[in-house]
Amino acid sequence: MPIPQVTQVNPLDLQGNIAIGVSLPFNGPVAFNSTYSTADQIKSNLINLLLTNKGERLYNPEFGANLKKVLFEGITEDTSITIQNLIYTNVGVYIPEITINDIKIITDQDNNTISITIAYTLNISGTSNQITVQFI
Amino acid sequence: MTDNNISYLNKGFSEFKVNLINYAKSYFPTTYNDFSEASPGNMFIEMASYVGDVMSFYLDTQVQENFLLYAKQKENLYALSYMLGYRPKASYAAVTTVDIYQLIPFSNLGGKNVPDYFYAVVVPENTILTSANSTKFLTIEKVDFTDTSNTEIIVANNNYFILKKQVKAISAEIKSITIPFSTPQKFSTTTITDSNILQILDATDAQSNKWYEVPYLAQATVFDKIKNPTFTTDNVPYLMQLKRVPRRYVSRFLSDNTLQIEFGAGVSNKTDNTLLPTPDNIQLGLVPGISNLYNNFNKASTFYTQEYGLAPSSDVTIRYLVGGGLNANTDANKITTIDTSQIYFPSSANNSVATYVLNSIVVNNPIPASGGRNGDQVEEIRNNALYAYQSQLRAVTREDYMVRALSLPSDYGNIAKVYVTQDAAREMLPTPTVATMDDRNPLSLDMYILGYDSSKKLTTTASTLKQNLVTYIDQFRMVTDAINIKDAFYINIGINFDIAIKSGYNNNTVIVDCISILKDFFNIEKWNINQPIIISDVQSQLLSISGVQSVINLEFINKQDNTGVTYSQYGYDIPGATRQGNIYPSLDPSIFEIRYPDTDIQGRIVAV
Repeated sequence: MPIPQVTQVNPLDLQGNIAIGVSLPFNGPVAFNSTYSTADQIKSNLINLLLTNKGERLYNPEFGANLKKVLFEGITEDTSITIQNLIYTNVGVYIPEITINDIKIITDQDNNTISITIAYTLNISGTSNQITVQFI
Repeated sequence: MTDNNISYLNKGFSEFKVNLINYAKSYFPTTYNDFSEASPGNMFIEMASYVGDVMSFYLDTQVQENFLLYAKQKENLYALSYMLGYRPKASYAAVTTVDIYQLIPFSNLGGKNVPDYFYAVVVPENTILTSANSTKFLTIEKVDFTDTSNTEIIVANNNYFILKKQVKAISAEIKSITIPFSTPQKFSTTTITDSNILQILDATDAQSNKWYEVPYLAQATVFDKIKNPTFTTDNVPYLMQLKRVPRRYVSRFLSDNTLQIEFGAGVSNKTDNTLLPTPDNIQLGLVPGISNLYNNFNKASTFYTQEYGLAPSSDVTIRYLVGGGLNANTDANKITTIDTSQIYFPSSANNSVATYVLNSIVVNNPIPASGGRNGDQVEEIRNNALYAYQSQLRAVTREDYMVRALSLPSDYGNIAKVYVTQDAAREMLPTPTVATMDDRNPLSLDMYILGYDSSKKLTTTASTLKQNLVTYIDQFRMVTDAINIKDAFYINIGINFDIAIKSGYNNNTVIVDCISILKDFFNIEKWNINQPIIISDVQSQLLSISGVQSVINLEFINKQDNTGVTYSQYGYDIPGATRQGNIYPSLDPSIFEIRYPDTDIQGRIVAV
């Protein structure tokens, strides 16, 4: 007898008319776009974490992935490893609702750009998702 | 507002954030739900908390800056201190006493050589002195060598005496500035931007009218001094009187140590007495109202008369003093140059001898110039302002009256000792009755005073000095107080003592040391009216001398002269006034004085 698949859902996701938070970027008609699912909100939160440096948030200097600081120091062979470590560490602290499955870092030294793609799974529902952030 | 359950007690960032989150949870449950740290929306909550925190900080700071005890900004401290009656200082001058010497030729008077005062000079006040390190000093009093009192005369050679007088000098130099005025304007203000300003010396307008500095513009009178016609007999140089001064200004130091000057508001050319308030004109200038019962009637604001002083209508030239500071403190014997350009002969002597005498004038400071320092610091302003608020320039306690009397400027007479007590006549009254209460002021005080003569011996004071004191004290006296100014008594005493000395000590040396220590102990500057002599203290003084084995006898004797010339005319029963080892002064306030220490203290060495 097959074992039924159990899926957990955040109660807020069951009420489609309740906004969870605001999404990035702020480009809505009144600056903000509301999110109506925890999955969308976590995506915005993850982007927010990756784009924030430590020390930028008032009264919360430890918040942020500190990626820009690493990139500012120039791209080396160790850069990818450093970035991965920073992402794993800080996501574990500030967004414990997800589990990172994979991090792909594509460096383009000629154009001084780095593209980071993070594949992750929502812990509560097991839904997979991914985001890509590009630093120029 | 309160229906929304707003918390008004938040002050810090964290409190604001917590309460904003709670507020959003309560009132916007369908609009926002993600309060995790990583949420972008959280950033806006934190920004609002940031604004709240900053506003709380400024609110705290604004309140803090309103209290003298907590104010930190210098501008606010200055404003608060002026409000409480303290005037901060931008610099403190160094002060010293300088000796001024002049040669003066002999004059033969009855076969005896005496100084020829035809060649005595006058060194005016504000004469410039210069120290070795180029610091400028100014004399603060006139030195008149024609006045023979307080003059040391030394024979210089076969033809000349040396006259020596002393005068106080401060580290300062005079600068001036002309402020342009044309059309009178109410409360004209100008600022002197100079460093180390000490004070304003004087101010004169283009019509040579003198403008007077007052503590506040509503004060219409200043002390003025006029020459005392009886100076030669009572030794009081000037009489003090109050002078009404419509031309007046106030000055105040700003926090950058510049000096701001504000003139009066009077633009009317009418005199005040033509604007005496009457029922007919009292409403002029007031805002019309149904009732005058609660109007604040102020002549100044009603009429814009001279009540706050006149506004200048022509250029005003202000002379002011700058100097002081730590560098102004000068070692002894370093102030040796004097500017003789303003020194003159009252006799108008103008010959080769006069030139020689003028060139002979020299100056020296036997004591260092001290007291110079930079202006008030923040904590000094705070503490001085608190003190000024307590005193309020009013005499309230007995000590206030005593200090105020002693601070009478020396131009108006010399007060050596002051004692203030409840009106003695009232204290001796029987049980108060309605009649006696009517007869005497229950708040009346007796102020007993004594002065010094030219030899620094106690003497009663002249009536002119008492009149000056009345004028002076009256400015600080509470309206309900009455002061009776009386002469205190001085009791002249002598001391005879017998001591035994230890072996191996020189008799003369020990006796000289004993007399010397008693002279110092009974130095009149250390004694006050109504102070008893504690005999054991005198014995202790003698026993403290090296070589004294024991005090065999110590006797105090009264010195009296019926004529009052050499000693006090009042005798005193010292044995009768001695109780349990103390010699008490009389019930009438009196002071003990050893008038001639060289002869009135006598000691003997006896063998034991």
